[in-house]
Amino acid sequence: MKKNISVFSIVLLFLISCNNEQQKKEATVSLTHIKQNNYATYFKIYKEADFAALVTYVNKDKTDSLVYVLYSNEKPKLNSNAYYIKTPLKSAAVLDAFFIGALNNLNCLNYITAIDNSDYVYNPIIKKKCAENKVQQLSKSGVLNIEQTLVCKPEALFINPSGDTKKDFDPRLLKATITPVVCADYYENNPLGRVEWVKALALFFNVEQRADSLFSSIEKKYVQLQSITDTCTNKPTVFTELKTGDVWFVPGGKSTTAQLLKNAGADFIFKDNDKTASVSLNMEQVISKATNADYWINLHYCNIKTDIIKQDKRYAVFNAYKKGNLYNNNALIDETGGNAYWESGLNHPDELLADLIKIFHPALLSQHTLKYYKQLK
Amino acid sequence: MSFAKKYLLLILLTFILFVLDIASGSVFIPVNRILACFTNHANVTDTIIVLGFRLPKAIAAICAGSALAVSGMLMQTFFKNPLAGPYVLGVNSVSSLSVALFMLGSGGVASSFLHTLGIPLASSLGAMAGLLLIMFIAKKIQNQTHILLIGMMIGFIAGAWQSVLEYLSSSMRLKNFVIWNMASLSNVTDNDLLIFCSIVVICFVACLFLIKPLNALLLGDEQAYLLGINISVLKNVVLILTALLSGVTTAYCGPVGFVGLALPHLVRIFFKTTHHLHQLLGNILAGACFLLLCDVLSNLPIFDVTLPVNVVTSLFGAPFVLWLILKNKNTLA
Repeated sequence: MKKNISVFSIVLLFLISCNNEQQKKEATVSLTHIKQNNYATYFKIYKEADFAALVTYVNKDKTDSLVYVLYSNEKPKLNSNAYYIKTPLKSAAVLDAFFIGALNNLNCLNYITAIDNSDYVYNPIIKKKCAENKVQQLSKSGVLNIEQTLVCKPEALFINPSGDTKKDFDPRLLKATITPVVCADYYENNPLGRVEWVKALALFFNVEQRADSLFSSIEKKYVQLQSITDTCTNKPTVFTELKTGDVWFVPGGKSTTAQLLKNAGADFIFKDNDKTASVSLNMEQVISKATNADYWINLHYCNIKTDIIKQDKRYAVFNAYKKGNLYNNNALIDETGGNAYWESGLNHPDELLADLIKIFHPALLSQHTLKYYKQLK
Repeated sequence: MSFAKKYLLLILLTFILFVLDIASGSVFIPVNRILACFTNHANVTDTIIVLGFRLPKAIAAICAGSALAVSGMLMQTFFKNPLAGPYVLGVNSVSSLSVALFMLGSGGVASSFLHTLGIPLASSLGAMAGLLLIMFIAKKIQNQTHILLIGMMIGFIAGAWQSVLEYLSSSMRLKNFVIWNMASLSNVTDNDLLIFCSIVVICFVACLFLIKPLNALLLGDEQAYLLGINISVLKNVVLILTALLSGVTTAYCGPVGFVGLALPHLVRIFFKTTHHLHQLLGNILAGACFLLLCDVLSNLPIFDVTLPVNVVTSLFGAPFVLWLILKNKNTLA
């Protein structure tokens, strides 16, 4: 469903951040044409005649936001503290696998000039370019290398929020006209909401129509698949993950994973909480609830059944283990650990949903072959 | 209070804490259901939690606590230094580095058997290497404060190399190592316990044969030599036992701090003697009590999740070390 509503006239207040503190004053900019999102709640798009404004929320509570003004011709004179970016971008650094998948869907892979670490990238084109040094790796150690970023000089740096906006907006990057674009896509609690971020990313490359049609197609397939399980009365119980140290991080009851499991006609054991982020449990708590669960999915780096008990032989007590109902989301993984699930998978929740329906209700999708998931044997 | 009463008190305390450790956890299981687990009349989930999870954890706490306390006692006698301990002298850090080299650098060595045996071996060898290094330096430098500082520096260097290895390793191997490095009693399974307990018990039995030589060592190397003690053989045996005790504990439970440093002092204060028979038995019991107590505290419902046992031992141990330094500031200077 695509809606372009120009009904509301919303006035945003932009604080002027002049260099001279004494000249500080407020300016108002009227943005009249909001492009309504179907699912995503952590960004808003305003389409004006000669520019677009993207508002992204950078914290979970949506109390902190950023404004990006994107223009193709003349820079609009808004006199505000928004970040101005001329589009289409010719070079972009993307520091998360999700963005690579999204740009691949938009046919904008060529504009990627830098990533975080090629070891965790699955896309063979980007991987090859990294090997040939045509795409730089800016965060091999897990921390952004500012010097390398300055040398690489991408026009925009697509990142996830760190929780500290000051840290995200390193003044050295801004001075070099490298604008960090903070995308809180992983805060979305609906799989379709997350993939809708493709519309926000499309603004930077002037491929909005492609994004709209892509999203509509994914949404249509997802809703169709979802309707298949609507009438299911038999909902197999499922739990996820392995423990890390003493802590067993399970997805929150309102997370994208919980939503996917619900839509796939499964009964997620730990659904009864209103958390969108992970919930920390320990092994006792998981054993007490999940011993008799039918399925166990998302098993970290495990490739075969015995990989699980190599980590802790007590995992064998779970009924799902005994039955062999173990499915991991690493069917497409390369030798360095790059996993397609985090790139194309999260950008195709319809395909993830199809995989999960096939796992929990094989008869409903008999023709489907698992793509991102595999059974551990 | 007589020695017999003190031992009785410690044994009783160990028993109470052992029962409490099995009875407490994040999932509430009534006492009658816990007892049923031992008589095969419990439901499957209760049995798994109590016998497969809480019982091995409590036994691991006893083994690790007593092993680290005895290891600390041996080091304090050996270095004639009240602040010596596997954590302070960098032995734990070198042991961790050795495990990091094994886990992050072993590449395709994925054989379960080799992996099970490799970590304790790497950890013990690392502990031994750390101790040898400290011993070598102790021969050159007599000043106790300098030895402690050097031990800490060795710990920093080992920690820095460990960080380098972590940066260079793949995410999958790094994850396994980070999990190990978090220090946890709950990762010890009944198979591990067999090896762990065996090594610890053998070391304790060996320590019983060292009571007289260790007492003599308190008088100084020359006096001990005049009493007929072969100093070099004694030092080598103490070195091997200390490395095995702290190494095997680090291997199965991760690097647990402060137990080895703080407990020997508490035992000395409690028993009011430096005789090594009482020191040995006292440290075995007090170490077990201390780590069982830490494990019970780490599972308190107020924390919502299980705290790493290392955090709890440090919360107790660090204030104690501060108190010790302040109390002995004149003698340490």
